[in-house]
Amino acid sequence: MTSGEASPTLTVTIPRLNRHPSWVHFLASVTRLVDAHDCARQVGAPQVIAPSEQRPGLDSGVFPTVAWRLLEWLRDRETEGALDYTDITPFVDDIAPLFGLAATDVQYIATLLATPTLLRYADRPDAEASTFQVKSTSDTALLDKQRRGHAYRLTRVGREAIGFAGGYFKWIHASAEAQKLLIDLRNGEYLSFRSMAQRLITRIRSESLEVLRAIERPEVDEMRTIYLRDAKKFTATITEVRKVLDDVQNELLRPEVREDIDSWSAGQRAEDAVTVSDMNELIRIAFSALRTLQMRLSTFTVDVQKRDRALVGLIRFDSIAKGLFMLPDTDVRSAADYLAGVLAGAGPLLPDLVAFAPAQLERTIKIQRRHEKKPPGFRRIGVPVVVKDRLDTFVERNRALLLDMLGEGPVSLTKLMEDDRIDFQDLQYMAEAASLLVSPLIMLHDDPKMRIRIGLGDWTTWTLPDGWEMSGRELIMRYEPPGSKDGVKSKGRAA
Amino acid sequence: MSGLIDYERLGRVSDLLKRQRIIRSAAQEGRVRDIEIEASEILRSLRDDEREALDALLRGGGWELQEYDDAMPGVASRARVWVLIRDAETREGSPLSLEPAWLRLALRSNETRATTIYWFMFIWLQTLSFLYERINRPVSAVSEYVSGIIDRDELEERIQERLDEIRALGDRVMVAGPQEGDATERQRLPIAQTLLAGEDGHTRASDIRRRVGAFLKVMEDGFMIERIASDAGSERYRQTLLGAVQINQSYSSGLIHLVPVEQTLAEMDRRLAAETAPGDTADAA
Repeated sequence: MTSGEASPTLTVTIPRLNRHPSWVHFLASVTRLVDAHDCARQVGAPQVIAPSEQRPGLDSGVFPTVAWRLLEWLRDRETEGALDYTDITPFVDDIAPLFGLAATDVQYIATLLATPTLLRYADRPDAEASTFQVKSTSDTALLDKQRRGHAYRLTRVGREAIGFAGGYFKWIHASAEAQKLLIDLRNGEYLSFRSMAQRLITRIRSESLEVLRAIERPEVDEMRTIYLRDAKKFTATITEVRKVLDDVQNELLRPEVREDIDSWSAGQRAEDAVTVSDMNELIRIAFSALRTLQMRLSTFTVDVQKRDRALVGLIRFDSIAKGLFMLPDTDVRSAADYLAGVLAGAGPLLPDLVAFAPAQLERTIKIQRRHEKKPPGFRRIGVPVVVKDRLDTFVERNRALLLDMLGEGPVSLTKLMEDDRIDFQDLQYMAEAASLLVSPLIMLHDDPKMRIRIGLGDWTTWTLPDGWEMSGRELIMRYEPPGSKDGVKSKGRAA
Repeated sequence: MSGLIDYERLGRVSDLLKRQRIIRSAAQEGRVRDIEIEASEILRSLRDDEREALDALLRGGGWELQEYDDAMPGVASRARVWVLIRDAETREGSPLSLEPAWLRLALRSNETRATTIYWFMFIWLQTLSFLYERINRPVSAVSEYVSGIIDRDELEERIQERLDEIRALGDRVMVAGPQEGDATERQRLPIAQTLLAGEDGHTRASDIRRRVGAFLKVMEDGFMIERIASDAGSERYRQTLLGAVQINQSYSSGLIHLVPVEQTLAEMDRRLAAETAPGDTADAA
């Protein structure tokens, strides 16, 4: 088959948990990093538009597969003992018909892998440095090509690529990865310990999140299949990791280990130092993450066995909103109550009362008095016109009579209100009459030889014109010279 | 160790829970109030019998207390979050209700309760569309509550668009009706009519803005959404853990009845097909 004849293919979208070959994980992890390297963005450009999700190249995806297979083929030749250049013609003959390619297509891929390219990156020697350095490497070819013909061998970078892909952290390897913590601890590789612990925690958490997704998205059947199939292996790995973490914790309790860590840490820069406490904290987090993973796995298993989860797929809320508009009047009569019922279950419930605690009651149960219109005071309206207060008007009208009454003896509130000679037309409330007694200054009294004294008398009950009764202490006003011993001196003394 | 149950402590926690329905021991951003920290310390220190007593106390009022740790996305490292979930079947005896929400969403004091409810439901469905449908998230995917974003401007635009669509559709329905030019067909869509008619017979952009503003504030005060930091000039919110758990919990007893039957049937078909051929989704290229 030639390159022009594409074989019938099936495009398969593989769910997240349905593991790809490890080299695909490796490639996926660097794709966007390579894009970052290749982007021709001007520094300081204001646009922050997301790059295209499409990639140039063939949709069939055959070339990266051929490239990886070539790397693996050459690795296999090395494993067999050939450390020299190997003619790839047998590989080309095998692979080209398999993917519907021409021999030249495969040769092109081999040439591509053997061509170096320049990779630049910026680096700061340390956190305090004010400038960064541009570093670069062109050590990027994965294959060495013999000068003539089609013979190739892996470069160091090519072997590393295979190594990186092979090092993909599978959950099943988690206990072996955890063992590295012990190895690092026993060999004084404390920085490595930190990064290994972080790697392990990330892996546990990531697995935990995947299980949660499987619980929350019951429609993702692939996840169920994988977890159910691997449930025993999965649980066994958790147990193994916990055992290793126990060992690490015990190791960290040994005095000689702690001393060694302390002395090593003292000689490090602040950002590189790893203390015993840091290590214990990392192990604690790992334990906690492991516990959560185990709980979720258990929930998931029970959930699957019950098989009674409600059908919860993707809900088209926008369609529901449109459907709501279209409800005919025959269905809508009780719609408001029904919708209110739905919202009462899932909507934002708010307190009916403003307060629940006594401390909050002050503003809610205090009687809200209607604000009476303020009596006119000395306010200025445009031009300075003085508007007199009702009390002032009252005093002005009755001042002489009041002073006469005071001259005759003490004047109580009762006496004041019962005296027919006093004109109360300016006052509207009993309180205003009382305020006259407690505020003698408004009497405008200006005789320095006399004083107006105020005092309290007995308990009294007044019957108001509208039938209401009011009780309180009698208020008594006296007019007497300063220093008079005859005045009201204490509360409660009878008038 | 067991002992006397300190109902005073339980009462303080219960009181705060009923006021705000979510208690965090720490937040990823911003500060947690002292009263919340105090309540979370009480919750952490409860003995088993005290916790049972608290659960019973809340259950009596139709509530369920759920606890999450930092394995849930959005919960601060080493923190705990407690959410008070409403039992959708319990309607009575709660000091919390939607009545304050109706009052705050109504544009006028004489607006009918039904009008306010239609508006609330309509805006609510659009926000759920942003939080779930747009990011391809089923209601059971609680842990993805941090992913959906509601942008106020976008929400207002969406509502305006939907109203315009329905208005156009309404006109078409009228023209195609048995009596051309007759308003009887329009009468048959009372909710649409309510939403399309504002004070002067036409819902204005300013009305939508006021409704959306009041709605978002009510949702925020009800701890269903929280405002997130965004560029100057934009107002963005995301769902809270409480909002996500509550929707998931009450979906089967309320929201599900709003889903069109055709959609439910299509979903069942899809699931049946997936169960018949488990594995990969495929299409011929």
